[in-house]
Amino acid sequence: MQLTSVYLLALCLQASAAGLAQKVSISLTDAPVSRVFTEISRQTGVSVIYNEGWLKGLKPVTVHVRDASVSEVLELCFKGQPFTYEIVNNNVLIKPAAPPGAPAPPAPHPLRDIHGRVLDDKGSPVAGASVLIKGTQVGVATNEKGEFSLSLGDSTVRLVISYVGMETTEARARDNMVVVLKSATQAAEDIIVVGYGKDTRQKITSAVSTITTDDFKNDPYTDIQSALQGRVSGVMINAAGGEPGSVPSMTIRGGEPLIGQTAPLYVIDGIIRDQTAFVALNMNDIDNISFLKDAAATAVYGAQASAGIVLVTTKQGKAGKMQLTYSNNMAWNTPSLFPKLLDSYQKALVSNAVSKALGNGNYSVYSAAVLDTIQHNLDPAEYPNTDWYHSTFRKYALQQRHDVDVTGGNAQTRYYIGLGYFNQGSNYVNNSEKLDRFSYRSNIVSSFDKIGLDVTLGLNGYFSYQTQPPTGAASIFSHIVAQSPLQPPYNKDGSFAGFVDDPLAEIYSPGYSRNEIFYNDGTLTFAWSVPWIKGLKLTAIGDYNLAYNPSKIFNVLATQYNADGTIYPTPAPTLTQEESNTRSYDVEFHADYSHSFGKHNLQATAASVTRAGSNSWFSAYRGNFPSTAIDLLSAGDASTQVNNGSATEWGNVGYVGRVKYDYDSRYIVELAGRYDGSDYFPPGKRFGLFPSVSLGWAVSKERFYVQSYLTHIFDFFKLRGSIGTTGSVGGTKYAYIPQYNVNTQVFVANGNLENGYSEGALTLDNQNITWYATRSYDWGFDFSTLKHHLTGEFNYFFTRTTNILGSPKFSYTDPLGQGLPQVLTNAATRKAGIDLNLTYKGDIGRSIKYYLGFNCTYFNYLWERSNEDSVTLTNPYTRAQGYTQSYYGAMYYAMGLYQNYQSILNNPVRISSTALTLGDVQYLDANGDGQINAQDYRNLGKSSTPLFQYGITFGISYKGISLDGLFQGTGVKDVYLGQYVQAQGGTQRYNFAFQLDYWNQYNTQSAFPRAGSSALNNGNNYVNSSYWLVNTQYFRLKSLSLGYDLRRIPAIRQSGVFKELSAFVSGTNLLTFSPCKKYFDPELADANNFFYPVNKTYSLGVRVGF
Amino acid sequence: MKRIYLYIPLLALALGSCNKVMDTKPLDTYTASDVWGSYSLAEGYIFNCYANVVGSFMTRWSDDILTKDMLNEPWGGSFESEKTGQIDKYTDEGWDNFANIRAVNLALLNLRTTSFTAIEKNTLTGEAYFLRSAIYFLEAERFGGVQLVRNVLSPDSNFAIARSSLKDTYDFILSDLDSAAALLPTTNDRGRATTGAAYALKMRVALQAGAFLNDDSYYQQVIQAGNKLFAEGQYSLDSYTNLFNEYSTAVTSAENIMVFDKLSTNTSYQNTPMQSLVPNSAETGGKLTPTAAALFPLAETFEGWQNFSPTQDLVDDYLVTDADGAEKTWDQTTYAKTGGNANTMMYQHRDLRFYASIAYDSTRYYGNTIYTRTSGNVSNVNSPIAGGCLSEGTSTAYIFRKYIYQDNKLWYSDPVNFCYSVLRLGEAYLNYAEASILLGDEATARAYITKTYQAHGGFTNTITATGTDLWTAYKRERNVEMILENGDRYWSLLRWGVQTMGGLKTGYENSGYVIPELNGPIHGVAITIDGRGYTLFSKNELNNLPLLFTPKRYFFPVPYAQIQANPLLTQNPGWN
Repeated sequence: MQLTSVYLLALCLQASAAGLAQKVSISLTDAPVSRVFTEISRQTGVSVIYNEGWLKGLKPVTVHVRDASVSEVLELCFKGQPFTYEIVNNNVLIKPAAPPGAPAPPAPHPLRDIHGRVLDDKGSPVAGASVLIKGTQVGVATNEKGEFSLSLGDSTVRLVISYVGMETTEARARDNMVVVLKSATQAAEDIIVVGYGKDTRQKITSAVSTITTDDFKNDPYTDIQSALQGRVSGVMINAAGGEPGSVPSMTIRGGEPLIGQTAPLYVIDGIIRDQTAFVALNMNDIDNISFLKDAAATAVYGAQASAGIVLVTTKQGKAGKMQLTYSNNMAWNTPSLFPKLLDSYQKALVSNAVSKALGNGNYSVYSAAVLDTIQHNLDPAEYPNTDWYHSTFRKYALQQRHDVDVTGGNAQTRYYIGLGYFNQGSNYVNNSEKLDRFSYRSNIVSSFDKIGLDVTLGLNGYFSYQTQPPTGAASIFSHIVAQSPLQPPYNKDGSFAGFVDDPLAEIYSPGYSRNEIFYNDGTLTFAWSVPWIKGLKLTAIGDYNLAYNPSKIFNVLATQYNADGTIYPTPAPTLTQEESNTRSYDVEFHADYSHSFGKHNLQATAASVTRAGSNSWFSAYRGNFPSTAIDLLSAGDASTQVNNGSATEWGNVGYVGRVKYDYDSRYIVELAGRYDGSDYFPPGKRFGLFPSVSLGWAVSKERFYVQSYLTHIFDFFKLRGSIGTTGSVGGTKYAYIPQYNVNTQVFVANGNLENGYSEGALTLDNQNITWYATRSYDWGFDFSTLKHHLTGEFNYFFTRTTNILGSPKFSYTDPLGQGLPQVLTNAATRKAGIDLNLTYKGDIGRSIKYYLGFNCTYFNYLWERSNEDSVTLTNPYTRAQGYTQSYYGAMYYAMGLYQNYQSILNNPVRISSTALTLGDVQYLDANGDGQINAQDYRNLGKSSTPLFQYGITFGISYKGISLDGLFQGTGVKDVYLGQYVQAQGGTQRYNFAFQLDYWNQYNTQSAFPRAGSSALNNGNNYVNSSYWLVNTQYFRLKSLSLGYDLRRIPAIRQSGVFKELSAFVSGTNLLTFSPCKKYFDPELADANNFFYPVNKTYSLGVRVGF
Repeated sequence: MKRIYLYIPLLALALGSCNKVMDTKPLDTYTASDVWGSYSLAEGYIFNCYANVVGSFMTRWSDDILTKDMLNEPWGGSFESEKTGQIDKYTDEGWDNFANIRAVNLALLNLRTTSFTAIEKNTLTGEAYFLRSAIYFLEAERFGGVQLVRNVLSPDSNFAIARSSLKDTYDFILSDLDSAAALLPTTNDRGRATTGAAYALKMRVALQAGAFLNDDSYYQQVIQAGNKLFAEGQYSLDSYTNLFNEYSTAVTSAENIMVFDKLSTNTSYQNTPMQSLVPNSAETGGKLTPTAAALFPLAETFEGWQNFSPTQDLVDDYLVTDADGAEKTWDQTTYAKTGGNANTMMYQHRDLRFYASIAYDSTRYYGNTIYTRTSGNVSNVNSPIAGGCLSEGTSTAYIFRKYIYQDNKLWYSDPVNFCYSVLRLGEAYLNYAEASILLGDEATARAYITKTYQAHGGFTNTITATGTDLWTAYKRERNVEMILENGDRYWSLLRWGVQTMGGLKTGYENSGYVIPELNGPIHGVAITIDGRGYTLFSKNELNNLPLLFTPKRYFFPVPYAQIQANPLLTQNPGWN
């Protein structure tokens, strides 16, 4: 252990060491000396600096003093012990006493004084940092301004500068030196934000992952949710394509999919929000995110917690001179993988092949002569070779982000203001789809120290504007993919040719589909540290939220022309306009109490939460617009107008409680829970209690552990376990109120379109309905080893959900004509899995630092008992009950393609399959009854959402150059190829080059059955079977970022202008490995390839701070 | 004093949340007392039943695909498996209609206690009876005797309900129709049931019942209902074109006893039969073969998704007025022999319904002259006609014109009005004629067949045939009159088959009796590229199989899953 490297610095170190004159009162019997030092520091704020190793041999001391000076106490401690102390700059340095009678120390070199300053990486002074002469215990602590002075003899001496939460740094001593301490990321994790409070990594007993945005804030992610993929253990994220504004799905440990609860609850700065608010967050405004994974962590969110909680804490103001930071990121998006489409010649060949298979002989569609013309492009007017993908989709689309944040203030008032602008264009050749988002976030904290009151005003919001062609990406892509290369896109005069489903006419539409969100939120918080009761803090929070969401679809195609110049008729423009208004409020009262006595620490929290809100929506429509010049409803044909509207309201009440006790941070127990109410249920059934208990044991703090030198293996090791119940709202809202539904415009009576009314779901007389209850267990351990270089957490989790509302079908009730009323059923689900996280941080020499992290999550789940009907339950092969959900679905097992006539004749075939021949799909008679029918279905394939995901993070920095990256991947997941990719619709569904790999006598080991269509053999090849499952697991270089700190350049550094100046290049989805790459991007894997592709992104950016 | 300040926030914490915020309610639904306390809401409730029952059960235009009259085209056809005999006990042909039955029973239950006027109450109650009979008739046609649920069941009711006998089922339906006729007004909003609709439906039901139960008393009921219907004098035959080729004339036609119409406000082409009857010229790559493009260019594209084509088998039934003034099948005419070209040989001087129902070679269809001949611009590239351009063109050389409104180009998402004929006088006349024949009153039968024959077919002669010739003439008349309406062709063929057998007797499933019109290949015609000659060809269904009807298919199977769930249910003969 480096002598100088380990210090126990008191908690209050950063407070100025004002008081050696201060008096202390200590009462300790047979305590280690270090305990006395701690006590001195705690009571006076003075730093006591010493070498831990020396103290090992010291005898325990007994000190009982009242209002004694520090010197008196120290004299008492060192009575008869070979140590002395020195007071330097209001710090106490402990050093060995010269043994009596030892020779006097050699005459020192002539001393000289040097002065210096210690700053943090934002340029703020670091007060109370320890500055030691390397190899000695001589040193000082910095003052309030971060300054220090030292008297030195040797001019070549090196100084070691350290501070809690910062990385220890060495520097050559010289006058007027400036030392910048970087914050240690590990230290940032020490404080963990949990629901309705904070905790520390050492003491936490629940399963919580945390992350800051430091490692990826320079990467060109479109939103925070995308950026989290692969970085957090227990968090699983699945991409949704590269279309501007598309957001991947996220779950924590998979959520509880069987009860329809997959999305976690989002909480931003203590208030429950939705996913839209989360993804609109500016990454620079985020201080840290906690992912609450087990019931011990989530129980305080009670009834909304079964799928986990995402807890975001945004940045708060920092006292000091105003600091301004600007960062930007210019990115270029390009589709990561898009399969090659057929060219004209391939299309013509496959058309002939399909026609031949249908019995029309050779060359029945294109004669040999025409084929030759197409192949050699001899008549491009008549037989063009249109590349629809490249004529509609350009290679690069620009994306940019600009963020400014300002922070500063003084002890009384601190502020933070963050502004962000994000713009993402599309790869449509005319960039007709784009997203703009402007966001702001501000908070001002005013401290009224005299009465212990902090008042925080937070205002935040965003405005987003998204516009796209009215046809929509999925439809446009279906037309890009399925349009024949033999179709010319333009007339001779350059106008759009007249034909149906023209993707060019769609993307060049003079209309649009536009969606805007105006979101504004204000929070006022009063936090009062009650002066009369030490450790008690009362908080009142009020939050009000308005979201206005207008949208407009002006649906029309660009004008197309026939070859003779006449206009090709297409539908007249229509306009649909919608507005949604949501308002909600949240009122909370919290009481927090903490108290320590001896080694006993107690924390308690109580809170009440009231949330309510309402939404109203309406839409209006007119058609038959005579022109596209006016896109207002008034210009449409009034006889076509349609409008609609609806409204909802909601309310929730919750009471939160938590008590945490620990003894010496060694034995920790926490009880937490929420008594939660919802308007889903009848009065009297609204509340549910969701409690949890968790235990922690820091084994590494045990005497036996230390004495047996296990600290050399794991310097920190803590076992945790938790059990708890959380809830979720299931079934239908208001299932206790008999209702009649309004069905608009269902029937024409006498030429008038009339509304209809129909009976709603049946209700139960006893109204015995309530929350779903998910009992969750979590066992895990946290450790650090290899001298703190390697840290990790491991969790095993198990959940079981009961109280599932449903309409049980075990018995035959068909003649009822309605589902049974919702009742509490016996159904139950289970989920189990593990997640783990490992991080290694190291350095090579003095200047190279690196880290390597691995995290993964695996889970599986099943219906322990399902609500399937009696008939389904009788089939053990296809029922869901009792099966882990790692299968894709019930289907035939495909044995491959028929390669000889014997296998056709000698094996059973489906009753409706006809005219089977070589190259058709053969199915297994799974039950051996000589027939192939639905009884041969088996649960086959693998789940389409991955049950295993992992990420490997890495980074290295050297002299201002830093490289950060992430590999991410999944376990096996299956996609069932859609009918377009299967080519089951005949000629017009052969669109992709990979479809040419169909069976024929020269290509018997093909990926596709013989050419043809579903008409060939009554669809034999396309019935639901394992033949069309494709494994889409992948491993990809998700992101890579290379940055350079330009302040390394002397001229820039010396200018003193910049507190921060760095530039970086980065990219996402740079490399991909997957067995399905020939079909589609493995992450999106749209079954028909009708989807805006996943992007690969390259970007440049700078970050400037003043 | 300080202590008091302390208590204020603590109090706030304790009482801070007010449970009243949870007293919310659904803002967009009505209560039962709202609905049954207001006539306009109760009426809307019945409208919802109409939408479900009439919209799904009484507008089943595509059931005729089960016969030789229609051929599945490769683009998403239907009923292939049934048509070629490839269904088994696992197939579900629509057994479970309990939701609709419940909806109607709920109306009957609640209407009893409403405070509406007698007329209001009677109308809504009559409509509910009418709708219940429509649901059960569809079930009876398909499955025979079914589970009769006469009341609103509750979750604790006994659901182990067995099938009623076929006779009880039909009697239940007919008694519902009697109740309906007694309560309904003689005129009502267009689209809603009247006494006339109840009589017309009763004629249809009783005719089917008479055959399957082999009981002449049901034919008497046809005659009685017919007499009452005709006595109303409200309805009169209209031109066939008015009924089926234009929305505005269809909805106002005096021949319609009941229609189901849809408005362009929420209806587009894809929600109407037009979508699946019109060819598509764009899907193959937007162009004809070079030959077709040169000889038969299209002035505008077709944008349907043609699922079905009419066949030569249907076309054969449209008679021709020969040079001698007598009506003959086309191949018996002098035109067929003297000829000139295919068109004059086959398509001149036909029944007027032919021109209103079928588009054929060299006729106008939408904005084009269509050619269904070899290499024609709407002939299917994969059919024996071949050489054409369209994988979604016709394989038989015919395209439906009935139910097609050609005033605008068909584009799937374009708004369009549409009117289904649900019950009309033409069918009632034919039902009356069939019952008369079966009761031995040929003269009356001839008189009633002649009505549509002349008014719709445009012929001047009267029907004079007797005996089996009369039966043949009647069947032919019904085929050309009713194609695409309510599956009439298929259900009539079954009825005639059962009549021939003398009712469904025990062991019918092994009787070996098959209906010739439901067996064997389908026919089409291949006209030469110059239009001068033609060849008739036969063709299997889309799945390469000929039509196959075995007697067990007089009823569809009860889905096996239902029998597993309710052991009281018995399977129909032959399906185990």
